Amino acid sequence: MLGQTIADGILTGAIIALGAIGVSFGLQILRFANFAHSELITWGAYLALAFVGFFGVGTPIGPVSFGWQLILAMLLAGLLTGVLAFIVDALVYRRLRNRGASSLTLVFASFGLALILRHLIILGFGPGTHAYTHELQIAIEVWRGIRILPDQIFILAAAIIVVAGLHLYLTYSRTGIAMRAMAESPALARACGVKVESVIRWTWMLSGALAAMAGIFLGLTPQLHPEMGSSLLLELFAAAILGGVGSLPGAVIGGLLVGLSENVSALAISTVYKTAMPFILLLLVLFIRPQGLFGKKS
Amino acid sequence: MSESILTARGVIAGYVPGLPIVHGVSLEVAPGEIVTIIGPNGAGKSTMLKALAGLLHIDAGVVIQEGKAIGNFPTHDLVAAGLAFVPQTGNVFASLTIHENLVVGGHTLRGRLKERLSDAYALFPDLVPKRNDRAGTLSGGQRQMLAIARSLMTAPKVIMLDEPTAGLAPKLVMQVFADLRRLAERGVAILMVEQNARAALRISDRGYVLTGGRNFAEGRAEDLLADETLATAFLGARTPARKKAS
Repeated sequence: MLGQTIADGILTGAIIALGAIGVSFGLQILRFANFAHSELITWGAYLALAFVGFFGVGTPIGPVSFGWQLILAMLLAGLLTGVLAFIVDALVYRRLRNRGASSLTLVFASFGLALILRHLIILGFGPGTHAYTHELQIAIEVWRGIRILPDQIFILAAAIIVVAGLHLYLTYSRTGIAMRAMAESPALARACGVKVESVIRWTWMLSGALAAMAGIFLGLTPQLHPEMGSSLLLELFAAAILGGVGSLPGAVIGGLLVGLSENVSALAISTVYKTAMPFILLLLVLFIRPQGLFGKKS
Repeated sequence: MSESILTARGVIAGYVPGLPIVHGVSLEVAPGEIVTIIGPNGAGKSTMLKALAGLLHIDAGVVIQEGKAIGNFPTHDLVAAGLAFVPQTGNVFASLTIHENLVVGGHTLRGRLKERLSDAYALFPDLVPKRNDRAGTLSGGQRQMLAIARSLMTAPKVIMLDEPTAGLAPKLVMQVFADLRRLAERGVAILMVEQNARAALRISDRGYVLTGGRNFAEGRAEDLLADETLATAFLGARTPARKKAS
């Protein structure tokens, strides 16, 4: 029972981690709390749904419930969500930045944007639920009574690949290094000749693409609905802050801890309290390490 | 003095448009020359440098680099054109390694990154064994060395430094000045703002004195050092001042 709960927690956590990375980037590089980030998750999921509607979900590959068409839809949706994030920045946030808006102004703008983005989805796809596929799946016993759906194994593997790829990108690529430089000091990065706006653009693209992945994985297990992103919003922030803002491993560990604490707590106390668990954990961590688990002291 | 590489005329600039701190400063630097800007606090020295570096808006005046007007160009274009700026405080990325700091310094380079990196390490061999350490672990003097090495990544023709010796022990101050002299001998033009006015002028070719955001005096460094009025007003007394009987 505990093993199964832990497995479920890790899966939820992996999805939260993908979203939390974007939130963490936003807090560190863009320097504000982007409450519209959760809507990028919803948009990513629905964009993939639109592509699936266009060229089908494909014949299932092996035990998973979908074919290569969904994987293609996933990549296209990731790209488009990145572009969407960039367009939103160009239309709203960049204009505010250029007028010297405070981060609080940006936060409130993001609330408004979240509503607009969410209701555009409702306008286009209706308030009900959707699914990529109605294929039935049988859980596989992976280890001593722990059963996981083949789709979930795919999700976990894909999340690991994406995070590892991102880690390599941030560590070794020039843009990745410039992003970390920006995260530490935008003013010094600018003085060094870093094109601040172009790094911001990349940050949005990456955050959007990662959010789309999270959304599609949520949609696969098992369905899509217009509040799928917004209902995760607080967990995303809890994960980003828990791990330490600006740290990629932090956001990933934070996501996993949030997923685990929600699921494992349900073994001991009523599931009514499930959503409170990450925040209790967050409080405990911040008491001991105000900068988060992997955060740097400022 | 040879042909100047960077010329500013009547520059008016500040942090807030319409509230200038620099009220029409003119100066110039030639290749291989060290020029120091001195003056009291609030004279607009740092503001002038930041305006030249494209970090502050220039309300009026002309800035010319190699015959081309470059006033208000975005910083990344200026850096790419060979104008580097080393800020005073927080001038290294503490969370990045020494190597990564240098890579950020070469951000505007198209290709040639490897070549420039080995050049920077050749100039500052002390950085080589520490290349994978975080810059936050460096001492004040080493940080300054790294900041200068990073500014060299683009092979700049002009380096502007805002108080490069601030907070350094006297021995390290001399080290930084010796490094700058070495760069000047390679033909780089150096424009710096210094509180250590006397020591800075000793290794400089020329100097400018700013007060209240305006040019107050200028001349060859040794002349400025020898000027009695300037010495008492801006350089701090050379010898303990004779106390007047009260």
